Amino acid sequence: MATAEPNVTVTPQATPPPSRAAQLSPGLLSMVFFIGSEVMLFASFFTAYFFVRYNVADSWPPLNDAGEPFELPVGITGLNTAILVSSSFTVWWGEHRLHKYGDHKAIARGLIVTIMLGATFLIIQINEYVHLGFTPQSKAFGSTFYCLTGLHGFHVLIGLTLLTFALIRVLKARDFTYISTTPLAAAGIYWHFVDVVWVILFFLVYVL
Amino acid sequence: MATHAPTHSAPGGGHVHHVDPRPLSYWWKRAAVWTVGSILFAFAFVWLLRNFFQNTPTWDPQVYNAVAASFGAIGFLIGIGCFVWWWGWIRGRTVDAEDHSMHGATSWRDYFKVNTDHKVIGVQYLVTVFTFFVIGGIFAELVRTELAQPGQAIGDGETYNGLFSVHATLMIFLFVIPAFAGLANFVLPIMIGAKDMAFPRLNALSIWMLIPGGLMLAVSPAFGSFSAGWTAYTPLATQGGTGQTLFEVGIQFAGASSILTAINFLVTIFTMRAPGMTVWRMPLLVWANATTSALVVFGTPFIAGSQFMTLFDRVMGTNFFDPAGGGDVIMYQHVFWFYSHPAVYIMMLPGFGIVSEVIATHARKPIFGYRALAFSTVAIAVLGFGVWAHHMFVSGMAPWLRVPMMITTIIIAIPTGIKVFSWLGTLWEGKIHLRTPMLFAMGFIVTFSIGGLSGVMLGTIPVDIQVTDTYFVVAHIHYVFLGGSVFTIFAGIYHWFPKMTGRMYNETLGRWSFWLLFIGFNLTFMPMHWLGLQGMPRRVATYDDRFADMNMFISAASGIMTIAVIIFFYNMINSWVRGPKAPWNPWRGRTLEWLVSSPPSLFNFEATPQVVGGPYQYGVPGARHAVVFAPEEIGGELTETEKRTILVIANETVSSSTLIDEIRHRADEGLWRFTIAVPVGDGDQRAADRRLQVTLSVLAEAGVDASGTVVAGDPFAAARRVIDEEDVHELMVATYPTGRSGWMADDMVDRLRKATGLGVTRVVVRPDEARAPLPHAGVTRTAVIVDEAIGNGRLVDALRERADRGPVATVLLYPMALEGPGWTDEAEELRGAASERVREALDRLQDAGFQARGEVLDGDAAEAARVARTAHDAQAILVVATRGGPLGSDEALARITAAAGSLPVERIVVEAPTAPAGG
Amino acid sequence: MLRSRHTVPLLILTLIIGGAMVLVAVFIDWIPAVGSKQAERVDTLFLFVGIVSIAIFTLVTVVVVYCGWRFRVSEDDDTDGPPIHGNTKLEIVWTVVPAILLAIMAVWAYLVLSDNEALANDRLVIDVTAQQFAWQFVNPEAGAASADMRVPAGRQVQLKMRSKDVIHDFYVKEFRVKQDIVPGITTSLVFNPTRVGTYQVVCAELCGVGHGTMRARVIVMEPAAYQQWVTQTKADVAQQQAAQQQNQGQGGGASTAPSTTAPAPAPATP
Repeated sequence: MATAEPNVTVTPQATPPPSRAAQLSPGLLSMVFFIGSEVMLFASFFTAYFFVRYNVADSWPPLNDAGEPFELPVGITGLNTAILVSSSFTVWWGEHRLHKYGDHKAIARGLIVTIMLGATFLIIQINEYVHLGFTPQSKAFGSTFYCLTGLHGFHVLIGLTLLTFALIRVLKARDFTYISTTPLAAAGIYWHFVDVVWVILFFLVYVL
Repeated sequence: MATHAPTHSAPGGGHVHHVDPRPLSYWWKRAAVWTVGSILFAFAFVWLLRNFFQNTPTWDPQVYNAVAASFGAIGFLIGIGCFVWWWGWIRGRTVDAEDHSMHGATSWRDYFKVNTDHKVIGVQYLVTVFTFFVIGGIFAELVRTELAQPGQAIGDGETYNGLFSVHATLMIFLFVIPAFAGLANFVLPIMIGAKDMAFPRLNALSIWMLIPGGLMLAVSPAFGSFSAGWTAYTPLATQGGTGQTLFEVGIQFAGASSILTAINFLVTIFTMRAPGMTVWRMPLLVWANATTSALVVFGTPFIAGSQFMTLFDRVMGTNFFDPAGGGDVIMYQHVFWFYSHPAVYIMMLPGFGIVSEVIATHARKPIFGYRALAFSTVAIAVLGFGVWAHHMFVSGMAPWLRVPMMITTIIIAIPTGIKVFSWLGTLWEGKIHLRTPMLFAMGFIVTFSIGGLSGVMLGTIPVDIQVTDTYFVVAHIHYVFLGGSVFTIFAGIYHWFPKMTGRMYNETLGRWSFWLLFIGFNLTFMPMHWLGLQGMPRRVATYDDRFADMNMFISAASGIMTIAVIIFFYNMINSWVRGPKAPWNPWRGRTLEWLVSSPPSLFNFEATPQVVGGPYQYGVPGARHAVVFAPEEIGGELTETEKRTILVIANETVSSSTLIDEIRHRADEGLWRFTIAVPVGDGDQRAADRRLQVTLSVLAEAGVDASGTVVAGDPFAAARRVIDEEDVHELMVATYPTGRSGWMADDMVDRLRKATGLGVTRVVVRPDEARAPLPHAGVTRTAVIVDEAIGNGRLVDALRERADRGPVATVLLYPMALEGPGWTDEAEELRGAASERVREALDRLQDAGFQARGEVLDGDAAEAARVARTAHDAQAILVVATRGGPLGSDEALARITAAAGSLPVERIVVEAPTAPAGG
Repeated sequence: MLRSRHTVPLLILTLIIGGAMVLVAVFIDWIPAVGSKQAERVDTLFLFVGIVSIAIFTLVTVVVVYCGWRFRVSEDDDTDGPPIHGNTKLEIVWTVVPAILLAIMAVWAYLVLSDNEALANDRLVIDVTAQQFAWQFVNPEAGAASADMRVPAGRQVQLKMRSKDVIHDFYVKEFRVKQDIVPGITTSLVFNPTRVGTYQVVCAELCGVGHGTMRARVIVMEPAAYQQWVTQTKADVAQQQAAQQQNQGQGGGASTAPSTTAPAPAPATP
């Protein structure tokens, strides 16, 4: 450490070569960091869930006011999970067609199907809320359940919004070519993230 | 979006800068309409929903308040214009990714609307946060007023709880954290050689999001302020009113702003570094901000989560923290501190970065242990996520968690210690300039050490059990945040003030503000350690009488800090408005922000700079950090007309190597040509001309574009004459050191700065340097071997003749050719007389404008020729002989020629002096 | 280093600043009175941490002050300092030495902690209930609730603490103990009072408007006096209960809760 760096002589070049880091797409990188932040937001609610479940409750699911354990519709939600997971594949298919073949129709179709699947998921989830028979005020069980699934539902909504923006750009501005797809790819990554979170959530909250 | 630093031509070049034509009033009217509209919409919306779901009662104020506050803030952001560009994109419009219509500031108005220029945003941040600093400071003084005597003084207990809660929240979330974001916003992109942040529009959104968030916290006292402390522990926070709601919503906006900025910094640092800027060449501020940003991105969601849960508990009736409903009270503290401990490092690490910059620059030394400092920053951040429960040793959490948390906490002291010691290593044997930023940095080391050491005390569980929740903790947090973070913020503000505003601050007032703050701070908070150990709990308005005297003393001492802060504000505002113009590089810093103008141009760099070395290579000969290029459009080199002029004013110092090195150093920036003006007053014009020729010759040889002129008159005349003819950008004045310099006695530098309105760089030249022959190419180093002619006026004449053929640097060699032993008293006497004569001759040469050095030799003329060749690296030998003297013979000349080897030898024979000069 | 021209001035400066620190540490009464075995152990640890802190602080301050004085140059000096980039030996030293000191601190702290919390078999268990903004102590031996706590000197006391509303904190500085009282759970606190006297119980966790006034007293008594008080209180309680039962028989529906105030003899003074 005690030696100085050698003297450097510089020949000014007309165009300095870009540094290697510059090859990363800032848009995608920012989405990765944003997802990291989102993961931690979910983590904070999962922390609450674990504390309530393993630190406080005597049994899980706990008993409601009527003295019976809370029940969750695992079957129908499992079906709903399948719907959401399949929507990840449809958006991937669209992107794949665009990258490989420059297929604009495919990406538009892929996005439309994905948005419809996502919307279906949300509607089924809301329907589930209506028929559950307990509310966010029903003990900490209800609070954690509604806040986790609600937070996720809100993220599905954000994901749908992003996909809709991408769809508008595809249809109206014909923006994305097979080389420049950053906003589309970012929306796609976000959608996959929303799906992965749901699979974890489904496993931890419904199944386990 | 802009990817790798796009190239923009200089202002006035090919690129037309479209400016948003809508006036300030348009945006603010729009913002007002949107804000009010959104709030009204929120009320209607909630009312409809509650009716639809038949919630009872329909009117539950906190639900309405929470939704109205959120909607109002979002409405404000829409109205002020944060989303204009995106809205166009979303609708499928064709939008220009390089739309700069809201970029840069030409008047003060541009600072009051959405702006995408990172420099404008940096200033917006700093002005905003210092506004909140003032509000938070007023709250602090109210707290001290209450505590000046043991009884209740202001309002009731609830008022007091509100005072310290608002004070802490504003200082933490609206001052320290965003102040660092603001400073980094300004300097960080320039430091890494970028034209802006990666996402300028997101950057604008971040600052504007902070404002409504901050306002909610600041106005909450009007609605019954939140009074559960900034930590907002449940279930006490659950009992709060509208103020608590505003706290919970306001924190979300401040937090979101912080996350967005952090993502922006990370992407900027990852993708937009200039070529050659490897991670090990990044300034430490960049390291610190990258690390901090990671902490923000991954930590802040936890405080968001904790406040969402508290809000839901309060307005929706959920049971997260209600034991009766199966909730967990301590869980709040885990979630809260999982963010809020890393938040301590979010508030410290950027300060460490600033201090590293300031110390290296003002101590003129490379940073000691650069890699150790960088690694310790990362280590602190990583460990920082594993220590949160040390805030909870007495909280009733799982007891087994305490010892692991103590160990991680104590481990953090090691990288922190490494930092402190490395700064000391940097200071050691430095050339320390005790300017205000340096004073703050050195003061920081002392006060932060106290905070760090009391932190270690608090880390050891048994001691923590005794002193936690007492004034000891109050002292500790203030030693860390005020003596730590705030000192570094002040250091950074002073350090970059010339860069940000293009003006110099007042150094005297700066020093006053430091010493008053330092003394006031220690007098205020040092006694709090005692109060805490003696058992005075924190967060109480009334206390035991035995603490009365000490508290009165503390309240009085806190007034000193208030005075210091007032001086600071006066200095900042006054200097910003009418301070002297700042040069580009007043501290002679090496990092990139100092290689651009003050304030920097619209896109910082004319072309992407090239980084070629480490950032702190002070004292390393020839080392450079970066090369700043000319625009690519014109081939990477500036044509003559494009170069801007630096006017160099110097008289006797003009041919000193110090000045020439400085000029060459500046010339390496590639943007300058130099006009050298030599004001001779009523002195010898020809002498001045000779010196100037030497300098110009050396500069020409070094490839520096320079011209020069000798002006009869004072430096003002010289400056006027050149400024009339050329577009002068900056002045460089070379003088002897203060005390030796007639110009400095006349305050010439300051007067020139005022008279011209230009930035002035002063170059100090030692007198012996000014007359030393230049070692550079472009000057013929001539050894003059002389006999008795040394006392003759003809010597100067002979040299003049010689100098007219080309610039010379003279070494006067006077061989004494002693016969007999050289150690006798007689020889010593002769030697003394000879030295005296050489000195006289040198003075005469100096007056005539020659650079000369002289030497008395014990040997003969041949010996002198050898010395000339070997010791003085002479390029030519001139023999000046007296007619009939010892050097006058052909034989003597032959001996000299033989000894001189390949050097050309020339002889001038002069008439013997009419009266023998000297013994 | 030892022969360096900096050695003597540095030593003098160290003596001045270090001496001032030591004077401040010695002549100001930092540590409150000791009232429990826990306090003795904590104070010894605190002394060690304090000495280490003073030493490190002196070192840092001496170097900063010395650099500011000795290496200061005038504004005219344009030279740079020596290009020293680091010194591996030195860096290892200032990593390892603090690490060793901190390791000692951690082990010591762990030992003090486990000693302080070790439970004795003959301990007196007192139930504490905190609410905004009052304390209630139930001594099972006396069978009565009171606003002040009475304990015998020389016997370990364990508090089982519950809160009715928000978080409070039981803090007695002479005992060097502190523990939050959290709604929903029972927290525990152990101390061994050694000195007879009356000590202040302070609520140390912000609990609302009356936080600053939420105080109580711990009265540490001679064991004999304590026994006398227990007997007396028991008798009083029995008497009261009998009276209450009579009342109940007459009026019915009255509260059966133990009396909230216990008649107490004057605090025994040694």
